[in-house]
Amino acid sequence: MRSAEADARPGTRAHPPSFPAGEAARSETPKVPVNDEEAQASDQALALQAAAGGREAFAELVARHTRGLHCVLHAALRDRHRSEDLTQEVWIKVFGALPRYRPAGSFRSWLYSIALNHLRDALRSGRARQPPPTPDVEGLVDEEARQPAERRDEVRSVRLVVAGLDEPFRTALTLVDLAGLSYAEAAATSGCSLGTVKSRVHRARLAFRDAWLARPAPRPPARSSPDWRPSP
Amino acid sequence: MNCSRCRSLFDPAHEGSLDPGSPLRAEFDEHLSGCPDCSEGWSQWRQAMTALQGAAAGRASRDEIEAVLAAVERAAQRPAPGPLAHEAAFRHGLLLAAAQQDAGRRRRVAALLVAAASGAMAASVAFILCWPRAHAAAPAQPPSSSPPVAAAPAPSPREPREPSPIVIDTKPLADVLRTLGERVQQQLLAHREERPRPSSPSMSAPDALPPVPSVAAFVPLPGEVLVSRADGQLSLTLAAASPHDVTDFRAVVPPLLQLLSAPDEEVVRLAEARLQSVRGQVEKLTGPAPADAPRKDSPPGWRRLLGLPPTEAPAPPPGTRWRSWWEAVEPLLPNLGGAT
Repeated sequence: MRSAEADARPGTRAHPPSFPAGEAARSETPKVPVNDEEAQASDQALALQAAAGGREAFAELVARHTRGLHCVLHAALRDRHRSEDLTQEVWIKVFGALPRYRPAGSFRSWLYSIALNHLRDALRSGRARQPPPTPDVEGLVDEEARQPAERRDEVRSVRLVVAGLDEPFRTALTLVDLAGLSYAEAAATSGCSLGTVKSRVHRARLAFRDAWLARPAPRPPARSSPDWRPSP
Repeated sequence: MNCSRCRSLFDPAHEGSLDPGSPLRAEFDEHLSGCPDCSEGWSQWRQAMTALQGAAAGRASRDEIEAVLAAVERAAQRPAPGPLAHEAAFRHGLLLAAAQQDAGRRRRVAALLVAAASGAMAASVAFILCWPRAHAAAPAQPPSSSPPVAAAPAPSPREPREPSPIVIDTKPLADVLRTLGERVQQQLLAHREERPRPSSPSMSAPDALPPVPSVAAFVPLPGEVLVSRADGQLSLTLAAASPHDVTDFRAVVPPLLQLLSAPDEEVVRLAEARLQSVRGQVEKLTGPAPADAPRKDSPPGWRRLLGLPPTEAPAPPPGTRWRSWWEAVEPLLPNLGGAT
């Protein structure tokens, strides 16, 4: 599973794509994919455009996959700020490795392989701390700030429960259910067989169901004005 | 269908991989309609999976995209590391590590580092043991006027004998190394203008890097300096195995300046002298070379990369004794030839 990141090593890399602010590259607005196969093909096309210097294509890839990467990294690190930093570092690596991207496999498998390898390196080198016992999920719901409070609470609870799952089931679940990878893509990303990934996802879902049903009752929504008066 | 079988179908049924028109799905639905426990379990499963899928990642906001793009563009504007350079070494000019490119080289250098570190540790232990008497007998020394480039804290005789950490202040060296890099870059550019090399068709883009990097690599051993000269780039790496090596670094910089400001023939001559030094150190590990061994003074990599004509090397007679010796010694010389 080191191949993707080995490609991304600075010492061996080719020139990363530069964004010359070419109007041609900017004018090619990516289309929104309809189904998963179309999304894969679209990702590959975007990656090739980005490797050729298409800034809009790279931005579209970032738009599609940043939150998925963040979900996977946060579930492993349980630290919002560190996972945000690592997400950016992953994109920097991907940007440097784009010239060597070959559209033979899924782009998402390639992308998440780099992310998982980078995560392992960061944990091994001590740049990323070991996960704290209590996941920091407060920031994760910032991205759903426009949603109702009940919805934000549910998202927060889901990510809290997912972060509490054991490895390697957590990674399998986050890749498939939160990041949206197919089983085959998750298998290619994790470097294990399709059956293993299916088994892990199933067991992770069972564990998630149990933890979800056993979670404490959600807090009542905060009131905008207190209905009590301080005692004189 | 029993309850266990029914519960095992919760996942495929919710995923949609259980065909709605299939007999299995009909059995599943029939069991659910008649089993309150499984019906409750199915309801709970759908509730949990719906919540899980509802937390799936969506598209990033514009702010998130801009933050990532800004970080990527900042990283892309940094100078690319040289072929032998670590990025930190490029920035700071000093790296306390044996910088090698592949794991095999790293292992060989690590073995040499371990050997040197063992010797340094033995010397440190002897130093600590002798320190109280020597310190009591010696008169007070005036403070040194040299800049504190690197220093290991002196062990106190009353403190427990724990290995002191190597404290290196790289700031005084930063300016020296930066100046050094600028000088080398100017010389390389001037040299390239004087003697242009044919460019490869695949790298003929105007903004591409030069087609053939000219690299002269010196074999880094503990306490030695790795000099990596690529076109327009310079990296210096100090492989230090002990505090003695670190303090010696000040003595390395002046000859290094002279080395890098010398013409190419001089660089090759000094490189070959360095190779002789390395060969001597290797011979300490492997035993002396046989008398009939030819001198491999002109590794082809340096001359080829520097654009110099090859020297005549005697053809080795097959099956001679020195050949087996050299085949055992040569893997111990990382970066032999300097070509990367």
